[in-house]
Amino acid sequence: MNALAAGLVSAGRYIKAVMGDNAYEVYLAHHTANHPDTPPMPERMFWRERDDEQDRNPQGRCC
Amino acid sequence: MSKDAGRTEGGPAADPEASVIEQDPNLPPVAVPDDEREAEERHWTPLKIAIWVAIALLGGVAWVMLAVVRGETVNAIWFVFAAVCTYLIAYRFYSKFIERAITRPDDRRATPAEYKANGKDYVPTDRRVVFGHHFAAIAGAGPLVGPVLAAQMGYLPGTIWIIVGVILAGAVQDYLVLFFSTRRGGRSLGQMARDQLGRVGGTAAIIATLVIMVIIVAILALVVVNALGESPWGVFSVSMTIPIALFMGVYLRYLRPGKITEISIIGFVLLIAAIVGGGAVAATDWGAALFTLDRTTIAWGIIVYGFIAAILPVWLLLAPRDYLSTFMKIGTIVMLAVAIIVVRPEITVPAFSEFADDPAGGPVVPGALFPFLFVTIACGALSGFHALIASGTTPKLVEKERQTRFIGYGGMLMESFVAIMALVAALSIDRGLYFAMNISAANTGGTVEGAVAFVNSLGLTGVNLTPELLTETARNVGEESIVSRTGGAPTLAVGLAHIMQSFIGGVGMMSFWYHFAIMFEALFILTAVDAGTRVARFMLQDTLGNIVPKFRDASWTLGAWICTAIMVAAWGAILIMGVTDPLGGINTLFPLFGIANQLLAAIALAICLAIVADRGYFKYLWVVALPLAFATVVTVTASLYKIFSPVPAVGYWAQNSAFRQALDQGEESFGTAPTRAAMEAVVRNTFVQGTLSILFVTLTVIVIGVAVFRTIRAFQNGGGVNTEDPVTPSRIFGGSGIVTTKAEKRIQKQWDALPADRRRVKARHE
Repeated sequence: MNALAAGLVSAGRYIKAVMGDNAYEVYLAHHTANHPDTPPMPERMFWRERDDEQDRNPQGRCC
Repeated sequence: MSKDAGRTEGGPAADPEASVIEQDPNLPPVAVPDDEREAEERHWTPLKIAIWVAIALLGGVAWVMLAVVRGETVNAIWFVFAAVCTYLIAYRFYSKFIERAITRPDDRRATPAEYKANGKDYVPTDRRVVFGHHFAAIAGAGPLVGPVLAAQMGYLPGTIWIIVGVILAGAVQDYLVLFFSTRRGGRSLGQMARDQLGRVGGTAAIIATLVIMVIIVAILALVVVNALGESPWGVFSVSMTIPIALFMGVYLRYLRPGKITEISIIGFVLLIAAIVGGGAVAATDWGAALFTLDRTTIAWGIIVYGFIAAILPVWLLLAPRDYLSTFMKIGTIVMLAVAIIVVRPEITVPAFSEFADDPAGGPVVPGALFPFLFVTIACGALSGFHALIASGTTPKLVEKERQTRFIGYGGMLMESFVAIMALVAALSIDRGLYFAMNISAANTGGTVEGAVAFVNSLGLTGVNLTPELLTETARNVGEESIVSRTGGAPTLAVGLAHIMQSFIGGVGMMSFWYHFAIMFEALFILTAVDAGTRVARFMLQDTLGNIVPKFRDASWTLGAWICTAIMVAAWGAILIMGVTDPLGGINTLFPLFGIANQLLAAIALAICLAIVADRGYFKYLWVVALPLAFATVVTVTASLYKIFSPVPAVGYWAQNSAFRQALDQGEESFGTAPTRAAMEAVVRNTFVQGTLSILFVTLTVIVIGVAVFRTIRAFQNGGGVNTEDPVTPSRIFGGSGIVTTKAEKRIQKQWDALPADRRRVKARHE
């Protein structure tokens, strides 16, 4: 039963990673490691930036 | 671990310049040492041998059942076994060979995701997550539509091309483009073309990409229009995706930013509600009156929508619908695979149909099996569009060079499997029904009687279509009529509904499954239309920027609007042309879609050819030359047929002159065109289609010509310029395949044991 629960949890984590839920955590980890002297972007601003970047630099989707 | 552990004695897979890469002595190895990896790969335990023998045998039996035995009926499970076993063998042996011979990845080199890491688009990401991203970006409606139309030839030609084509051509292209772009800082296909082929070749490649993008968007939109025409249920539920996406966008922007999966699940539930609600709305008088739209109205709707969607901010409409589309993609594909394996439908379609050796082809798509089968099925076997994803987006996430085989080659195998499942779904429905749905209204008159008369007059063995079957199927799927629902999507939806109802819900659920399938195809396509328009606008802005620099300014809204309007007008014109075409639209236009997509593949492969030649690996040049030659022969022949064939159904110009002549002679109707206005429309349409054919083939011949010229020059010089980014030593570690090997686990343990401050924080994105 534990194995099943663990499997479900990791499947959920995988789906979230593919969908991009963890983008802010990833950014935060990168920022703390590489630019510890500057404060990171707040979460809300990060997500806005992320969407607006797509406006400036559109990505293709395939047929 | 000494620093030598990361260095190698220059095994066969090592790059000559790689020996200079010095690894940080304070870190555990960043790569599995070559000799250890080699030993592991070459170590054949009895169990491993037994597994591979079993896979080979099962695949062999499946192919015998499909290609040799060809019984009265064939069980769908054999398609699954033939495909999966062949993929496994190709992945393990052929892609490994390509890795040793051509790509020669070196995990001691940092990837752009590592050396350009910015925590946003350049992020070293877990390989399985990148695989998911990449697959979601490459797979769309294409592999669901092409195989359906190609089913007119029988089941075998399509099956062989999808499976053999992917392992020798499609997956090779995706893998090589992904790897080469990764070695070049994630540069786009256009930039690589410029670097590798010079100005003429590069410019031709960029123009070809732009034109191809327009035609692909137009024909995808045409598929949606055909699926929604005269279908109030479909129109209602697909329109509902717009408010659902807007709600999701607002939710993510203002209510709970970043909760992507959460809102996708909410969106999915709303979507299901929209499908169920669509049935109820379509059953009411006002619903039927409001949402029964003819194809031209829907086409205009999509054009207006396409323009608005492309100028609205991404967060409001495109991004949320993209999340929904990704969510649906993974879900429905898994569901379809499970259903086919559980239900195992029997297939009664012959291996080769009456149309397989007819030079005029069949009534669904005109033209002989060679070359038209190979352009009808583009996505799933070889798709040039993938080269745009494999260069640019995906390379910025790849953690280690060696992972590109799993992501690039493996991702494409997955898409091929989707195409096989679509083929099985289309094959599982009654053959008479298949033709009644896919022959254009120009021949069936759009009526049950007309369809029955026309299909039965084709004289197909074992086909005896009854009007009852057509009306009953239409009633089961909740549509007024299913006659001449061309474009592939409705056929796939009927096939899927047919399979799914025996899995869940029975006949009563068929209408739900049908509209569920229409919904996800429309969702994929509308996302591709939006994104395609934006990318094409961006490319146009960039090109115009060479003349008027202001166009490059991203904050100049008017410029963006002008370019968007131009691109929408371009695909919109082709869409309207297809919808109003007296010859039936999709069957004349679909070959152009395939040709365009394959020409893009030829361009991508030509760039790969030049790169491989510049690296000096002439002995293995055939790995690229083979699919390139095939794609070139297929697309150039198909284009030439389309330009020069004297058969009006096949050649655009033959059709053009036949109708012009009829007009000159003062005829009031000709062929399937009932009026002079319709005849004039045919003349206009065939002129545009013929001109596009000439343009495509000319651009491609230029690109391939330049690539071949550069390859010959490189051969004479024993190699060429290295266009790779400079080598940066890697400071992170990651496994390379689906399963982590013993050696990888051992090294990973050393990394995990490192104190956190000495381990460079690697955003695992997991």
